[in-house]
Amino acid sequence: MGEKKDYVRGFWAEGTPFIWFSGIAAVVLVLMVVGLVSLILANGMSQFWPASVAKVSLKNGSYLLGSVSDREKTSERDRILLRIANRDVNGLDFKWVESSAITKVEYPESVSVLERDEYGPMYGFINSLAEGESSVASSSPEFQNVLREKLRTVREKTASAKKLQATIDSEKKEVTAVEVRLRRLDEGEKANDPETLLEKAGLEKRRGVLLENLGTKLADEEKELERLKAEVEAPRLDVTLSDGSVAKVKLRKVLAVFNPNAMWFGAKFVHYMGNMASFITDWPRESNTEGGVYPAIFGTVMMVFIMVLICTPLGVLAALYMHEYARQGFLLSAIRLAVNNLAGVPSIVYGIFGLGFFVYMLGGGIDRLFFADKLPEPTYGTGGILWASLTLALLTVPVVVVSTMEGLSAVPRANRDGALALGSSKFQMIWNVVLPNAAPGILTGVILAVSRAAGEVAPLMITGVVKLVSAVPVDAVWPYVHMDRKFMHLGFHIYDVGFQSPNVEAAKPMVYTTAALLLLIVVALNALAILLRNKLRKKYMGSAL
Amino acid sequence: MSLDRHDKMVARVDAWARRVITLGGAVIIFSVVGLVGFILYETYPLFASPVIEKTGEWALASRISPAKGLEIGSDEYRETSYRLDDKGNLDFISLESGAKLATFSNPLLHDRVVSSHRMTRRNFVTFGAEGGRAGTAEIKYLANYAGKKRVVDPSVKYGPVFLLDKDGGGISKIAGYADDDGNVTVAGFSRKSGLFAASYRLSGDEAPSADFNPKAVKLEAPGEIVTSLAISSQDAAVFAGTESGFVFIFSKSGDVYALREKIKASDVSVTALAFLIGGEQLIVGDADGKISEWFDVRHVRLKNNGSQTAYAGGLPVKPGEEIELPDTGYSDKKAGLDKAFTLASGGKKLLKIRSFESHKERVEIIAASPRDLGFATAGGDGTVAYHYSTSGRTYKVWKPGQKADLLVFSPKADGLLSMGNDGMLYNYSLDAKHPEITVGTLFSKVWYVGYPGSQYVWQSSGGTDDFEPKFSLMPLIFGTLKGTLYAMLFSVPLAILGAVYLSQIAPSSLRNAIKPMIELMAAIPSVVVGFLAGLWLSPIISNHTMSFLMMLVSVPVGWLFFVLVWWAIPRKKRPDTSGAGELFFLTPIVLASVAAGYFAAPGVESLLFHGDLKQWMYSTLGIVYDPRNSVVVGLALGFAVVPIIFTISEDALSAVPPSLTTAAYALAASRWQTAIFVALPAASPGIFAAVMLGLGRAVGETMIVLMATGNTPIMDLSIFNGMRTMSAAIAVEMPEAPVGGSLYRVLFLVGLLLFVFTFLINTVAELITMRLKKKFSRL
Repeated sequence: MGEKKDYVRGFWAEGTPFIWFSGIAAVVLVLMVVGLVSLILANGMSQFWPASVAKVSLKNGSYLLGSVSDREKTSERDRILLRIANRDVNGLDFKWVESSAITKVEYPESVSVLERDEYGPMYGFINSLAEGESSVASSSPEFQNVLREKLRTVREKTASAKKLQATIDSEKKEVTAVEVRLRRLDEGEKANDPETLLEKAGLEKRRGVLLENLGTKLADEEKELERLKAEVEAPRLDVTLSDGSVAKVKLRKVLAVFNPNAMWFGAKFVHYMGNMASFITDWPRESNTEGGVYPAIFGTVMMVFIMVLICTPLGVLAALYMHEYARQGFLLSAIRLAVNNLAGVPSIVYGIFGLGFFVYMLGGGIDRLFFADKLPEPTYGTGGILWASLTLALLTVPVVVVSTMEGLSAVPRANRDGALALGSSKFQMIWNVVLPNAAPGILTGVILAVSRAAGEVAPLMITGVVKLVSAVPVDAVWPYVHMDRKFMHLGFHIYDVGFQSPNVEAAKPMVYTTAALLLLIVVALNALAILLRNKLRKKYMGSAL
Repeated sequence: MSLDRHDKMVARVDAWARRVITLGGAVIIFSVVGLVGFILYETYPLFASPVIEKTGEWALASRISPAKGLEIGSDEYRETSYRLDDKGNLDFISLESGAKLATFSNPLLHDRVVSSHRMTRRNFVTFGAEGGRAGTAEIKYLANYAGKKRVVDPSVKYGPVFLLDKDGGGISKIAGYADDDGNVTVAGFSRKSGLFAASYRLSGDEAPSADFNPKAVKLEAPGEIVTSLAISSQDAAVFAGTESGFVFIFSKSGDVYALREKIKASDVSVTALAFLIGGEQLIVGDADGKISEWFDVRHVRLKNNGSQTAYAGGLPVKPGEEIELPDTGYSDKKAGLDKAFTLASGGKKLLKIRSFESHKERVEIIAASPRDLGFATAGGDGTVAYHYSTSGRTYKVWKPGQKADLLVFSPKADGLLSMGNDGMLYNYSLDAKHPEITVGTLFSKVWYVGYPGSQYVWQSSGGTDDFEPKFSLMPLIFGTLKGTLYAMLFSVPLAILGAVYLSQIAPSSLRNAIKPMIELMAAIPSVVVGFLAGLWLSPIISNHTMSFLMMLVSVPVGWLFFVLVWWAIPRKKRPDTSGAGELFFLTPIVLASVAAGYFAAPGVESLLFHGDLKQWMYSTLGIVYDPRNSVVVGLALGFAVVPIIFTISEDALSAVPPSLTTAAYALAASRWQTAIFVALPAASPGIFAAVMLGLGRAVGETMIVLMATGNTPIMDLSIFNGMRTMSAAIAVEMPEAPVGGSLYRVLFLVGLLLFVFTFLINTVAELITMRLKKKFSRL
């Protein structure tokens, strides 16, 4: 009896159950991280895989075309979720179908998927490619070639029409400016003042001269534009949809045509990679739920770039000052503590500071000084990429400072003393001995700052991020870099598409993919920083011995 | 280059480098100070007192008729003012020079005017005369631009004059109201015949004729002498204050007025009545100089059908008796009620809401602000006071040179005019930027119009112009603390146990593999976590609530089960679990327990909750399930906080000097005993610091709560509904907040609170960590 009691005490005293309990916590932690990352990556990376389109025949004799996206099987019901696409016809992208209502599921090779510039994809059977009276049936052997060729020419003509439009616009620009000024005068408070009338007369005369100069050239160009537009509009695809109706889809609106059921793995993979590439290089469509995230990537990268340009020198200088120059004492410790703590201040607080100080105070001031003619329309007095970058620079400076200080304090004293003993000045010592040795620390700080900035959304929401821009902040129009422009951001894109768009279900693939992209960027940057830091630690642990 | 020159060069570079680097340091220090300073600068005006200054005074006695003045007012630029005298004449006076600009007289009016009333938002004047006549006039200002100079042209549009009291009694009190469609209501009292009201339509164009004769209806208040009148812009109800201290409320239906209520508003005579803009809040002034605010509150009638005395709202109700109470959630079942009661609607009742600083003598005039809920009063003792409804504050009491017989706000509420019967006109500028904000309105309960009692309400914007923003910070603070609490409940045990395991028990190879993984977890952007919580986790938990709850039970049960199994296996036959094997061995246990919980859920649900947990919660506990709730927030926010707590705890635990732990092992302590009784206490300040830092992060996190909660600013501890946190409020409302407005500054205040809170927490944590480091380095 006594022996058994000891045994019990031994068992519990050894603490195996508790060790397990704490071990379970560690397991849960690991599962959480791995689960989240794999959930995002799996969902995000799989969205572009061309899914097979099933022809689901129903008991009532009709059939549906769609890709199976979910299945719910419980004791009570068994049903599948079909992505039936054709949003313009069906109104909805998805439809639940009871398994009991299904008679047959097949994957006919002739099902085509049309990727379009609006209403999402279209599933159906292509009958023919028609243009005016002539048409090529999909059964004819050269159909694929003709289609490819036609798609290409339509795309080219669309591009040249766009170019022509731009030319015409720029030619008309001066006239437009005169007209805008005229309208302003008409709507203004002093429309009937003699001075105004005089100015108006002058402007009207100038408009006449300008129009005359442009004259026939403009008319020719406009005629050409009309012709191009008509040519682009003409070709169409006749597609039989699952409800039996025939949709006439203008080729101009079609981005790509493919038959997923007829594709082998390699072809699908090529298609997948193509989709990935266009996700990164395309502009968003359909209120951001389709297309690519090019402007968001551009905005994120540019914002981070400006931010690094500001926060790196500032952070390094501040760290150098505090570590090398300032008199050590209570005040300095207090400042150091404050800088440390700034890293823990909620980002939204920086956001309101950015909005109040940069946007309204600085930006408003700049507007009053340099852009007074445009007021009350703000130029810098509203959120923009410069202000967002400055806000984030402020937010990430503590990271750079702390990391640089760590790097500086890891430089062995012997190295500094050696340099000084050889007669170098203080700055020479810092420049030639301390900074090179502290470089990994600085780099770590910068990378951490970049990854924090890339993932930060809250302060941007109030300092210049928008859901959609018409142009990225860098273009061919003088002054080429437009620091006052609003911009798009990957993180905000996730929030906006996932929570602000009217059709959340259809937007989910977009959100997952964007999240995967952002996660990859940020995690890669952080992994890099951790590696660098470990390297730094090892290096100096070695030399300290 | 000579050596000398080289040396000089070096010295110069050195000096410049010092300057540049010092400048860099200064910029950082300046930013820290600037950040706090700027936020304070933006917040401070919230608490600044309104400034009222005299900008001009004119002795007009010699310039205008010596007749008694009845109404004054000004244009919106405060350049000219008008005065209506008892002959019905209107004098326009420049507020820049005091000169008389023009005089108009009413061609239809021949009697002496004895009473008048001016609408708060318009220069629409109603007047009553001897002989029972009443009429209206509207003063209009047209701004003209002659060259660059603005000239304000005054003009008067006279309305009809008609017989209100057919018996010809002098109209001693009058009130008028005109809506934007031209519907006019005039109420007047004559001592001879009592209270009358007339409604008619005034189209803008026709010339007023002398034989206009709208139907006047009698409002029954027998024996009462009406001493003040007001008409609500809400429903054209007539409010009459009497000499006996009552307020009679006559509500209008069709053309008929019926007595809705008779309220004892004062022990002495009610001398002044006025509605604030919106026509909801009634300000009552009495002969003792007391000023109070009243408005309608929805009531319920509760009847005790039981056999014993029951309590409602803290009041005893005997069996069979009925009690009328403000509807503090009785009708929508939000407030608990004894089952003995039956419920009936009690309609609206006028209640006294708050009082303001009194005048020493009777309240003569109440002038409401045309822009906000401020108002000014003039007392018989010659004092004038400026009050604000929401904050219940009397901001300033002053004495113009002469007793004010007339008092009015300027149309933009940026000034006040007062005039005495001696012809002294005083022009005041009023600078009240945020009179509705006080520490009281931000942090304690306020009784708002439309609410049954004092409450904490955050509602910053509304649909209509008359909307009164409600800025109680308590729901936001509550929401923040609630979200933080659930996040900490989830993350603290998990992170600390995990840290103990990895630092003290697991082999270092495992630790080196897992620690960076959890550090990477800190790098996952919160917008990603928030989006998963909102779009992925929240529907899952909503669809499988029971499974989720079962997992909370099944994992500990699974642990216990396997512990017992382990115990039952004789020691020698137990498999070797040392090293990383332990974790591989534990993972299936966790997964199996989770699966068991998932599969057991439907059975348990049908056994205990009739097959539908949410339905059961609603019908039995009255809990409404909101899919974006605190559980989701707790998990998501916890996920964001875990790596912070874990990393810092783990650092602290790993930094425990090996001399301590090896000593424990030498004394035959087990791994667990060493970890818990030696390492954990030694590192506890570090772990405390870790929890503090985690807390700071959870409090300030924005995107996760924004996406994982419904963002409704409610104060409810239930884990099945959401909240609005301080940070989310800033993120959501800042873009719409007008610069310099109250919302803008209140949000800055919220930011300041967040800043101060996290800064303090971080400082404490930092100091603790520093002390711990010192302590360990000594060991």
